[in-house]
Amino acid sequence: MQPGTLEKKRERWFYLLISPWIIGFLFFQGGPLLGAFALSLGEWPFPNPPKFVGLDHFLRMPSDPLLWRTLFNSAYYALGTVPPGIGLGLGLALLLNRPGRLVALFRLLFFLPIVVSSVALALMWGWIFNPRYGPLNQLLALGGIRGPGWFHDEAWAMPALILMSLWLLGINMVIYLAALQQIPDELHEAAALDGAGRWARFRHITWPLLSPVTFYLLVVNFIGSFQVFTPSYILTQGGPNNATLTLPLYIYFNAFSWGNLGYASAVALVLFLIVMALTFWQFRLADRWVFYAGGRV
Amino acid sequence: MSSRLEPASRFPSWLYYGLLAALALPFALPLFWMVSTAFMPADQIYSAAARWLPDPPTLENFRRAWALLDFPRFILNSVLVTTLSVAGTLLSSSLVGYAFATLSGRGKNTLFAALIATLLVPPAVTWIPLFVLFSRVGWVNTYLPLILPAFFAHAFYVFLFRQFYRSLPEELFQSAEIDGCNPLAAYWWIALPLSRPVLATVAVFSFIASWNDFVGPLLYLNTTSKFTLSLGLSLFHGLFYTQLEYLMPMSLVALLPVLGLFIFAQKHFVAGIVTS
Repeated sequence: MQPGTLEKKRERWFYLLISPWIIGFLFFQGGPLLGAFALSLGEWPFPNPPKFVGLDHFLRMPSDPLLWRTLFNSAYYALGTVPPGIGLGLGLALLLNRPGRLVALFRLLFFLPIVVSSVALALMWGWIFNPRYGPLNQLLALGGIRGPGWFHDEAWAMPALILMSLWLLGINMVIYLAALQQIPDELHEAAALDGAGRWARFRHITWPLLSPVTFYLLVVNFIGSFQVFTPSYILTQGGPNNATLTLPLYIYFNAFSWGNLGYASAVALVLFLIVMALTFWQFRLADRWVFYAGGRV
Repeated sequence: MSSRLEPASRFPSWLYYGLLAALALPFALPLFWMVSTAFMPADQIYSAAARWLPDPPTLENFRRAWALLDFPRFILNSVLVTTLSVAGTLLSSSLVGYAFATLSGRGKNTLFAALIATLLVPPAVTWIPLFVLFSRVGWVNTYLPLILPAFFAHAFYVFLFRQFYRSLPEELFQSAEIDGCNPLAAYWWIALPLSRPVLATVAVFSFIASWNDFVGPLLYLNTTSKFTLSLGLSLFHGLFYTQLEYLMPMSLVALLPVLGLFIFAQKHFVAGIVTS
């Protein structure tokens, strides 16, 4: 057999073996993305026939106060959850990066919330935050503090949602722990011999070596924060007074409760553009602070 | 400067464990309260003074919640959806990951970039077109929209498998091909049996995702008898208050399989993250 045909044959195998993903991409990802764009150009007053409206839905957006409120809420939520979630995740990982049975138990405890069903989690925290009977405000009352109305108060609903989400930061901790375990001890030992203090070693060894992980978490967590749906859908339906109405929730209500399929698709595309722009911007910034020890992968 | 870098003599262990315990409190208390409420008579849950321990502990909540809704059915539905989704994810993602790691073809880099780019698309963007697609083919109120996509590979898991297969020596697969194996056979007989740590990791991740999925069942299932566990749990949330005395015990029941799998797979699980 000639080497050329062997190459051809192997190439055919390549396409054959990745074909499940190609099909999935066409039907469940790429196709629907184009579909969202097509849907956004029309009105779909089922069972009446659809009507082409061009870019009307997009032009209507600037004068939709609810959309602005939703964008504000999503940004509030993203900034409230992502930086603290990554910072605390790193702090916990640094604290727990050592052997020992008791330490392992703590690691498990911080990770445990991840496996709780999001529905159970939302309803449980809804009760913890209950203004009158909830354990949190009863605990605060012991200290003589009158707790706020949390999910019943427009100003406190978003902070409550953010606190609830921070309960899940164990996943960041686990990812940092995995990365910390790959930093060779010799680096720290050599630096210590040279007289580097702990802060200096963190600043010049740990932090740069962790920076690809930090970057990964920033990208993934920001995308995730723009997807929050379940807790506000279950607990507040976006209220009170739209204080917890996030982008996915607004898309869902428009499409499945109010029958505005076209406008919902347009908002979905805006969500897509925001996430794309944010990710692109983070990649641009990454060149300045992310350190790849072995060059880029 | 106090450091968290290492255990050191200057950082006494009572301070270390004190700090850990303080940080652990907000994580432990809700979990503790969840378990304790499951065994607490309803009138004690809703009493004006918060209670932390049931007096006396009772299994009554489990019995009543079990009778109130068809939980055996919900559990069976969840088991069906989750098992098939996990199986589909493991098969398809490992196969595609193997192809990206060991084979090559024109446009491979572009295809891989496209694969990674799908991670950036929030699911909410494709909710509507997918719903339109699945309702056109008459799959609304069936499990197909929840199961079928899993058989077509997920970018994150493909990435994990690819990283793992790239870390294996190339000769392994070359010698298999010299022995007359085609790439598919080499994947099945050689690569797959070696991938235990990644299989365990992906199994845990995809199990949690599918078992706890709420949005998928919310969008596609509308007959109560077809509900999955997480959708069933949401039924305990009434218009004005949550039936905690039923929610908590059933949440614990929902938690058990995930916890079991996690503890069972923990050894492989951590290895899987580290090697990827």
